[in-house]
Amino acid sequence: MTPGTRPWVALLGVGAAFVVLPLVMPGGTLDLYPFAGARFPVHAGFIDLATTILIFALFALGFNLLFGHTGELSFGHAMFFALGAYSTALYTRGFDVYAGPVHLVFAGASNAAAALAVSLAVVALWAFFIARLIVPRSSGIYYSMITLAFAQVIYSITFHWGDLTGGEDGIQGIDRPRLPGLPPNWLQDATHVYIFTAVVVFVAVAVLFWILNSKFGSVLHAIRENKHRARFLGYDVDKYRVNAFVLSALFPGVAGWLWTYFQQSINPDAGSIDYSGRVVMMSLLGGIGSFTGPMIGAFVYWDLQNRVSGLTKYWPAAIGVVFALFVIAAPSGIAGIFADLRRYGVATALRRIFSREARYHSDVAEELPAHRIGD
Amino acid sequence: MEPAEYAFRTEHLSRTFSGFKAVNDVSLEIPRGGVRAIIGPNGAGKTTFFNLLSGHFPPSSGTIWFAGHDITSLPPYRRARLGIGRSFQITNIFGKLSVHENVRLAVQAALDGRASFFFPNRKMGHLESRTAEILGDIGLSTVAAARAENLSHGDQRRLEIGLVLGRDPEVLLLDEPLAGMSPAETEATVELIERIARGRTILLVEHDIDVVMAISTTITVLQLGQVLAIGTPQEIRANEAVQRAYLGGLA
Repeated sequence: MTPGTRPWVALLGVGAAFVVLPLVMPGGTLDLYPFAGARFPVHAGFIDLATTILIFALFALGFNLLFGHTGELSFGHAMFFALGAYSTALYTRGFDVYAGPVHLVFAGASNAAAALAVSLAVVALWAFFIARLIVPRSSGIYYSMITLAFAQVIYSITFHWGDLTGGEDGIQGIDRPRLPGLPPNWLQDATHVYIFTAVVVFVAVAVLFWILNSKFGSVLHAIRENKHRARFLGYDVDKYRVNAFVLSALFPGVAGWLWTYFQQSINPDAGSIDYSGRVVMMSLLGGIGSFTGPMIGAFVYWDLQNRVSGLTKYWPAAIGVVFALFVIAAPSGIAGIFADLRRYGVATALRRIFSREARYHSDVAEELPAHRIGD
Repeated sequence: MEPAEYAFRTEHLSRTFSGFKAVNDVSLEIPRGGVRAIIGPNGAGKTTFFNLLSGHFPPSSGTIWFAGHDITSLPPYRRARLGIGRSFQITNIFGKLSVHENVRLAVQAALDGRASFFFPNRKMGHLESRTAEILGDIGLSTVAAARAENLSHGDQRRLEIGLVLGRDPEVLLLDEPLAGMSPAETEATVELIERIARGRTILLVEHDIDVVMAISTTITVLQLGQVLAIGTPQEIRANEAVQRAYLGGLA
């Protein structure tokens, strides 16, 4: 393939998937398993499940910029999702609270772009603060644990500062914005919410794709492979790690913004350990070494949850088993299996899954260079 | 700042590891240009000295000057930007990336910090041509697409040198570039070192005494963390203190 064609092919593929996605949902026209049709627990209607998947796909992609591409695991990325979501909710609803002696008051406004700008500013500031604090001082498991601790700070604020955040109940009845050039009630329709989400997520995916294929992105891969060597080549490695952290927080921030408009309500779950963990699972399921892996993972996770939760209330156990099997047998995830199939054919790909030796030699990050532009 | 006559100058440089003085009060000047070898018995402090020059860790005391700059407390990436490149004794490459990507990362390091860093990797003609040039120099053009970790030992050692060449540094610190190479690989690599030495200063730590004698401009002999002798290969060969240090003598 000649250089320059692949990014457009890849993005076209993503766009096509966004069009088809609602149709393959349970109850959709192209439902893959109509017999296993289950109900979607949050909303009725398959289109809402598709919207959920896209929002989490964006969340997971941003997270994986840090995990899969830079090689640093955050256990607290839901804090950025929650910050984006709460910022949007509070911007829309307004607030009137006292932080100690300081009277914070805002009447609320309905401009979606301004809400996004505010959300991203809040997310970026908090992410930058954390990154500057932890990047020079930690890596590996300590890094992960500190991100978890900071996520708990956000969680406890959303949970306990009831005057601002609504506490355990969160904030309900958030109006969806009016989009410029469209009828006032356009976003009241579930299909329209899906279209709006798909367009935003597509643009964000394109931006992320661009970043990962830039020189900046290649340095992140170098840092993942060998921080030490990158330093001796003259790269200010810690600066890259800070920038990677902030960038990877912004995408979950956008996802949180979408989530608030989609749900029209928000509660502390958004910033919980549960959500932070889910995004790790989605990424690993789909394949952290591939660009699209986390999106595939988000699809499989939610589709599986939706179908299995209709059959048994023990659905988290079922998902846990699937997750464990993947980590043990196919650490490069679903995208890694696809890559093996393309490269080696069915027989060898299967052998790599079932052979202990191949497994030990496989690596979660091994597919990364495959999506690089022009290589 | 007027160009200094020396590449490196150290003043009372010492590094202690839990009481053991690996480098002990070394004051010396390494002139610009030529191949400057550092030899000595195991434990003489060669690699520690290298690590101090490249910024791997700070000295316990003393000062390091590089071409007129006091670099004693600069982190490694700042030293690399000043024009100090270093290769490692234990191969230190980006294993999961392609050979081409390895070298290109080294070449593009010179552009670090510019806004163009966020632009896609296509349309980087000058980077690509420089990358291709280095791949040719180190003899790895034919395996450019291979994953670096799959190269033979000798090819990995040459890639190691290619990474150092990326920024086109003024001074190269090569730490045992010939370790574990076959005679044929050694010959090719020595030829490569002589070629890249033109117009540069090379600091070389190497155990292959024949090679050191053949290609060095001057040799510095370290023993127990101190300078035992400095001189041309002939002078070092004739030096009795050096003969004693090496027990069997230098043939």
